[in-house]
Order: sequence, then structure tokens, then C-alpha cells
Amino acid sequence: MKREFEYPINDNNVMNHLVSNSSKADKFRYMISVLVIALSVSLIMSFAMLASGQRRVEMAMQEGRAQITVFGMTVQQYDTIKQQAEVSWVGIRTPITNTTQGNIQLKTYYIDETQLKKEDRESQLKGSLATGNQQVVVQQEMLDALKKENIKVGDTIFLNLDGLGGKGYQISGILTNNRTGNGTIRIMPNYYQVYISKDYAQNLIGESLKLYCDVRLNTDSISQSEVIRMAKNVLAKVNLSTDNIILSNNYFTVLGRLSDANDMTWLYAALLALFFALLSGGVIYSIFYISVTGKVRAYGQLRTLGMTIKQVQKIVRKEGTQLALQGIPLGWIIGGLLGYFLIPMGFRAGDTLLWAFLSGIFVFIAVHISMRKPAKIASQVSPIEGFRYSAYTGKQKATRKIQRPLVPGNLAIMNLGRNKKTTILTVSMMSFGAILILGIASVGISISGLAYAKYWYFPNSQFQLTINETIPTVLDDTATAEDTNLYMLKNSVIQQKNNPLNEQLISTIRSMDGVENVTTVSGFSSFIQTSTGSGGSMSNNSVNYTLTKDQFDMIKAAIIIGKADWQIFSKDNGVLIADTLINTPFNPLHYSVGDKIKTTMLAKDEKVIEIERPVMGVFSADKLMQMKVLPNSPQFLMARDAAQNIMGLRNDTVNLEVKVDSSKEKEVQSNLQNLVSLNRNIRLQSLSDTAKEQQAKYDSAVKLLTSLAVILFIFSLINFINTSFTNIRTRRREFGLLQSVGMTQQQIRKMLQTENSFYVIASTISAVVGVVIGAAFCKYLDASQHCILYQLPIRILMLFVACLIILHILMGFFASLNLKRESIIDRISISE
Amino acid sequence: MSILETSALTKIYDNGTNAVVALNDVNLQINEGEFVTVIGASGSGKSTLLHMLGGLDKPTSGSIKVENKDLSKMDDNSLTIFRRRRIGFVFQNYNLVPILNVYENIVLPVELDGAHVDKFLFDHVIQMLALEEQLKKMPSQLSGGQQQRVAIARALISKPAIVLADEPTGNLDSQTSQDVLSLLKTTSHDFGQTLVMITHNNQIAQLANRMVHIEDGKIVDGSSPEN
Repeated sequence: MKREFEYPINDNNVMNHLVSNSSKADKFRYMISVLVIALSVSLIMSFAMLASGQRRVEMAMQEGRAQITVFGMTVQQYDTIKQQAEVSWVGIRTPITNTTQGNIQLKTYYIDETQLKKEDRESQLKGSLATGNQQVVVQQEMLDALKKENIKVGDTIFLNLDGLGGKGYQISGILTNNRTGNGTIRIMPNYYQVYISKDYAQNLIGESLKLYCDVRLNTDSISQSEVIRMAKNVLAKVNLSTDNIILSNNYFTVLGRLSDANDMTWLYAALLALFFALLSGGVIYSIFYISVTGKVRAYGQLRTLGMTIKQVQKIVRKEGTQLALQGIPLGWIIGGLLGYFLIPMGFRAGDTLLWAFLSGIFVFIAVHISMRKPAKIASQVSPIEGFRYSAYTGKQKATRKIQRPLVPGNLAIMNLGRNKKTTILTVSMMSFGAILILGIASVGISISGLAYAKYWYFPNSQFQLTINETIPTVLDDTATAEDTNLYMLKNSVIQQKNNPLNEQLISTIRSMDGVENVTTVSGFSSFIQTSTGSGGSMSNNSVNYTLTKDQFDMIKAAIIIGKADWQIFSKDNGVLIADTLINTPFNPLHYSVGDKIKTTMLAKDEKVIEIERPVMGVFSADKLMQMKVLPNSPQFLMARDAAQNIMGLRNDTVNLEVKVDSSKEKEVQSNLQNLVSLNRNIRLQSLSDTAKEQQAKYDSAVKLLTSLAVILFIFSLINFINTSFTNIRTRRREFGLLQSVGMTQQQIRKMLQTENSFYVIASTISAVVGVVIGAAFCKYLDASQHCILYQLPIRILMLFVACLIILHILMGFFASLNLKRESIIDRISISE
Repeated sequence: MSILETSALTKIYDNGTNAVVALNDVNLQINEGEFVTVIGASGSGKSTLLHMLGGLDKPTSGSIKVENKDLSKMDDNSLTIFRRRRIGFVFQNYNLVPILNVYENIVLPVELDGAHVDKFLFDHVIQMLALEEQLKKMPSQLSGGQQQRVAIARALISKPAIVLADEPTGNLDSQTSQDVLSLLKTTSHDFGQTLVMITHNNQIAQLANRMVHIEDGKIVDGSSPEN
């Protein structure tokens, strides 16, 4: 039955009016709420834009990248291939000669315009590519090294490119900067590239000029077999086979990674958005909670005048909507600009609109959820309550003690206890932020790629030479099992046929100035089918290091499961496996002592065989590395005699460890690079490069975590500033009455400063706790990962505390200003 | 002997566009131990006068002397210290500090001064005001009359020379008003204090030794004890 006074009403006008007046009355709260909403939207949006932008940039870079390199092509074959419909472009980069001039190495290439463009180096070329027999393009670095900095395009330079003593060449162009990474040229000391014309290349080589070309086929596929199939068709037209191609690792791995990363990116983006929404929700909740409890009297009056519970709720919710509608567009502008400037190349209008829409919706919902509780509190105010309520009514219970010392400091503590919820929320947010910032900073400055690389990969040396695994062989669908196995065991083939890590190389290295020691490490490549716990299998192509009896005795202490009996181990082709390969809750691999490991390896005379090796023990990978017997964290260990018997190896060296005088590291590196450039079956790895790679991985994680911690702290600061300012403004009357009974301005200031000090001190203590937690985490990381060179984050701590002190001073200044602005009479006359 | 004296006291509130003369050339003299009521219509300048006498506000011109000290020449800090030592206030809306219990509210002016509470005086005052059972309670747990009694105790505890009361019964029912008034009168008498009270109630005003009439910022009657 419809009640008598129930009729549809349109209260929108009056509601809007009340909401607008409420916002105008408390501009500070209004401003800070809009700012918090804008900040959240902009953070979610810019992070999302950064993530999607990075993906776009990587995809765009891959779009123009070559999938294969074809070598051994004649000029006529090149001309034909270029015309094929399946081919998008062909760029030439053909090595011509390798010569020395004084103490520098010159590598001569013929490169064409397409290639230069595709290597993104067009802009680095001053002048033009070489033509005829007299012109060259040189690197600026080479001119610097030859102390010919003043030489310009058009000048003549003497170069030994033909290996016959050399002659003068006119410089048609200078390449200003070498690029690193992306498959182009690495900066190597004393090693320079000179670019010549096709004519001159032909002159130097004679009729037999065979081109090396990067080829982009008309497909975006990341399937190797599909690309090979297409390449096969193209090459067949010029009577070339897939033996003449190398697949571009860069193209396939990067694109593969991008498509794999897709799912994870979404998950991370969602988690980040949730994090920001929670933060802003928390702060908005806190702001409105303070505001609503401060306006209980006003809500009571409205209730007295006839406003229903629903209407009070509506008014609070409307305020939230109004704030969101102003904060969100502001956030879009800030976020859009931030996102654009962070990664302009990745900017796409469509993506930006999508992120704007999603971030807006997300924050809008967060604002409304966080306002539910304040709206409920407001609506539950009864008219009488509103009349009697004072924002700072104080405790309702009698105190236990009759008197507490009434000094400003103690009064401040009592004030903090007035609204415990707000105080706890504010202090916990700030403390949590401080712990995170300093904790992450401690780990951030202590985590060391160098420590990690040294412990796990280079325990005894700064350089390692290994058998090079890149040979121009490509497998397609027609390859037989034997072909596949041989391909997988290519390093063993090199090792068996003509091991480049031989005595001659060792003595050359030993004779280098600065080299202290060269140690040989024995082993072989193998191909292992590893069964996983779930019944599947994964292939594991790895180096099996081998042990002599002496080495076996040395590492015995690292064996944690199984008996360590050399006789049986050696006689039965036993294998020791790393504890990283045994079945644990986080490790799907399924090995235990007594299992047989099926190993495909190379027997005598290049025969591929499959043997079953019994697992005789499990060693702790960590303990093994501690003993510094072998490099590169081995997973499988076998007796050297047993391996030699199977493979019939005369030289079973698989790795050379080169220890050098650290003051001459750079010099030795350049000499080793020169040595390696002469033999493509050797690969040089340096501790510093491995360390850099590892450090880069750490740095990106640390950067992300630090920025999240800083953002959390910024939100908590906003919350703190809002709490403090609201506190000062709502207690104006109380300050007046305290002054009237004899509290001086200094005493009031001291009281307020002590209140703020509580937050500052709590944050400082939390920061120190963060340092301690960081140190503990570093210790934990170091114990398991050995990647820490611990440094106390004194500077960061000092900077952090300095920021807090500045904030404290500013807040004190604001409080003084506020106190001076009004007279005692004005304050006492404020009605609550 | 005169304890309080104003000479040509003038207060003008000027907000730039409007100037309101709240007190106009007020000359008032009050003797030690006197009970004076100030009466006048709303907006006549009673409260402004009381604020001036208590050093809560500064005059535009003229002087206020309390115990021969010129309040108009004191800086903020000295004035506050003088106030907490020599002047006790009782306000219409009690003005108790909500986070402090009754005991703490009473002793606040003494504690702010870093002095020790006179135990004997304290016991005497709370006994007179019947606050013995309320000491641990918070202001919000007290009735209006009780709160005003706490405010009176606070005004008396620092043994001030003058107690200034701004319509102390304005928020109370008639029975409580009578109790509070008689308490104020008795305590100030017992402690030899001068009591200046604002009221717009003629009946209450009659209780005083002297009534001061104020109209439009000017004293029209009762400016000195001889009148």
C-alpha cells in the first residue's frame, strides 16, 4: 500500500546546489581530493601507456627486421632474389678483407644503402656511401684512434685494406657513432670497420665475390619452419639451398618473447591498476572520512530540516561523483602527456583512448567504493546527534589517571589519540611507504650483477673462451633425426674435428701482457631428454663438464645425495646432477638418484649415439660454485675418463678460463677480441659483459619497485598533509580557548609541531626499519643468489629524512601562518 | 583601591569598507574585591569590553590597566602569560578542552605556567563546587551546569586578581543558573577576587555591588565605584 506522503520527488536541483556549496566551503579538501583522483588516473594511464608503448616499439622494430642472412650469393643471384614477390627487401653486408695497420685491425665491408637504412644508421652517416675504387666510408672512432680527428669528408686517408701495404683513399663518408646491440656492430677497441663500394670489393676479391645479404621475407610469421619453407622456395629459384642461410636469432627470440609476454603484461597491468586504485581509494576514504565526521553537525541540521537518510547518502555520493568527474579528465591530461613523453615512439591514439577509458572507469569505481562508508556514517547522523556533536568531542570515557602532565608535547599525544583511526591510517601508510622505499633502496644499491656473474659464471677468471656454437646450418621440416642431433651437437663436432681451444691458443694467450693464468676446463656438449614430473619431457642442450679424480675429490663435499665413489662413477658412466634439477615443489624436473638419464652425444668418428647414464649423486649447485672448481654453474658432471672413452677425444677442452691482472683488463680484452676475430669457432665471454647483462635485469626490476614505493609514499604524504591541515582548521576554536586560558602561541606551535613530529619520527623509524629489513633481505638473497655487495643506503636515508624535515618545517610554517591570521576572539567565536 | 582602570578605551572594527565602533571612549574603574555586572542590549559592546579587560583583544586607542600594568602596551606573549596568572575567564559556552578530563581542565592554566597547583586551594575549590566525584570524567560526560562549575574552578585555580564572566548562565536552566551564580559570588568573595560579569538579565545584574550600563559602546551608568 502506498503511504500517504510517498510521492516522486525531483531533488536534483537542491542536491546539486548543496554539493556545490559544500565543495566551495572546503576548497582545500576539494582540491586535494581532485588531485588524488587525477594522480591515480594519470599513474594508471601512464604506466599502461608505457607498457603498451614499449611493446609497440619492439614490434615496430621487428617489423622491419631481417629474418634470415643468406651467404655465398653471386651478384646475379642477388639481383634475381631482390625481384621475388616473396621478398620484401634485401640488404648487403659482405665482409671483404681483414687487415692490420699498426696496432689496429681493419675489417672491410661492402654495405649497400638498404642495409644501412635497415640498421638504423642512415642518420649517422655524414657524406655518402663509397663509389669506385678510391672511396671509403670510415668510422669516426677510427679517425680518433689514428689521431686524425680533423680529417673531413673529401679528405684522403692512407689505409691498408688490401693487405699489401695499402694506399690513399678519399673519404666519401664518416659514420659518427657505432651502435651496440641489435645485431649490428659492437664497440671493440682497436677494431674498426671500413666500408667500400661493390666495384672495389669485386676488385679486391676478384670474380668470386660472394655476397652476405640480410633478407626480409613478406611474412610476419615467427615460426622458424614457415620462414625456412618460404626461404627455400625463393632460394630454389637461384639454385641455392637452405645450407646458405642463417636464421636471425634476434628476430625469432624477440618476437617469441613479445608474444609470450602478452598474458603476463595484462596480469601486471591489472595488478598495478589495482595497486593505484587501492592507494587512491584509501586516501579518498580517509579524506572523506575526516570531512564527514567534521560535518556531522551540518548533516544533523539537514536531517532536522527534513532530509531523509537516502538524501544524505545521495549528497555524499554526488560529491564523490563531482570530484571524480573533475579529477579524472585532469588525470587523463597528465597521464596522457606523461605516457607520451615517457615513450613517444610507442604512442598510439587508439591505445591511449582505451587506457583513458579503462583508468577512468577503474578510478570512478574506486572512488565510489571508498565513499560508501563515509556516506553511511553521514546518513546515520540523527538530528539530535548533529546538534550535540562536535568534530573534536574527545573521549567519552573517563580517564584512568587523574592527571597527565599538561605540557605541549603531552597535549599533542592526547590530540593524536582523538581520532585513532585516522592517525593509525595515516601513520601506517607513511610507515609502510618508508619501509618499502628504504628496503628497496637497500637492495637496489647492493644488488650486483658483478657479484652474481663472478659467483655463478666466472669464479676463477675475468674471461672465458668457449667453442663457438654458431655455424651456418639450418634445419627444416625435411631434416632427419640424425641431422637434428648433429645440429644440436655442433660444438662437439668442432671439438672432435679440430678443437680450437688448443695448446697453441693457450700459449698465445699466456704470452699476452697482463694474463696471469689460463686454465682448461674439460667437457662436452650433449643433448638430454629430461622427463618432467607431469609426464612430459623437455630437451636440454647443455655442456657436461667432466671431472678428474682430483677434481672429484675436491667437490665431494658438495654432493648432498648419493654415494661418492669414484671407481663406480668412472666405470659406469655415472652422472652427478645439480640440486636445481631434482623434483621439488617449485621444480617440475623429475630426477632422483638411481634414475637413468638418456643422453645423446657424439661418439668416435662423428657418430651420434644415445646412452643411458645412471644418476649417482646430487650436488648442491651453490656449494659447488663456492669451491671454485668449475665455471658456469654446471648441471651435469661426468668422469673425464668415461667421457673421453666414449667420444675418443684427444683434446676435451670445452672452456678456457683466463685470469688477468685487473689493471690490464681492458688491454687483455682487446687482445683477446682480436684473437677471437680470427677464428669464428671461438667465442669470448667476459665477466664484465655478463655482469652488465645481469645488472640490467636487476636494475629494471629495482626501478619499477622503487617507483611503486615512491608513489605509495606520495599518496601517504598527501593523506598526511590533508589530515594535518584539516586538523589545524577544525581545531581553530580550541586553539582560541587554549590561548584564552593562557597558552602562548609558541606553546600551541610546539604542540602542533609535536603532533607532526610523531608522523615524521614514525616515518624515520620506519625508514631505519626499512634499512634493516633491506639488509636482512640482502643477506637472504646473498645466501641463495650470491648477488649482493652490501652497501648501507646512508645517502638515500639522509635524503629521505631531509625531505621529511623540510615537510615538517613547511607544516610548522603553515600552522604559524594560520595562527597569526586570526585573533583569539575570532577563534573563540567560531561556532562548531 | 582600584584594580582595573580603563581610560578613553576605544575599539573600532574596520574591515576596509565598514568601520564599526564597538567601544567609544570608555572610562571604567573597578576596585579590588568588587562584584560588577555589565548590562546592555545585544551588540552594545559588553563582550568587546570584557575581551579588552581580559587582554583577549587589543584596543584601537586608550589604555587598560590591571594592577597598574598597562595591557595595551604588552606584547602577545607577555599578555598571554599575564592572563593565565592574573585573569580568570568563565564563558557562556564553558570552553572546556574536550580531550582533557575535569581535573586537567581545571589545572590547565597553572600547568601551562609551569607552576605547581596549590593543593589546599584546589581541594577547597572543588569542594565548594562539588566536583570531587567528577575529576576523572571528560567534559562530554558532564551536564551544562557541571561544565560551567568546572570552568569556574579553572578560573579560580590560578588565584587571579580578576574573574571575568561572559554570560556564564546563558546556557543554563534557571535553577542551575542560580546555583552557578551563587557559587561564583561566594568563591570570588571567599578568595578576595574581583568579579566582572556580563549579563543581559536585570535580575542577575541586581546581585552585584555595582551595575555598569553600556549602550552603543559607551558607558551610560556606573563607570566608577563612586557613581
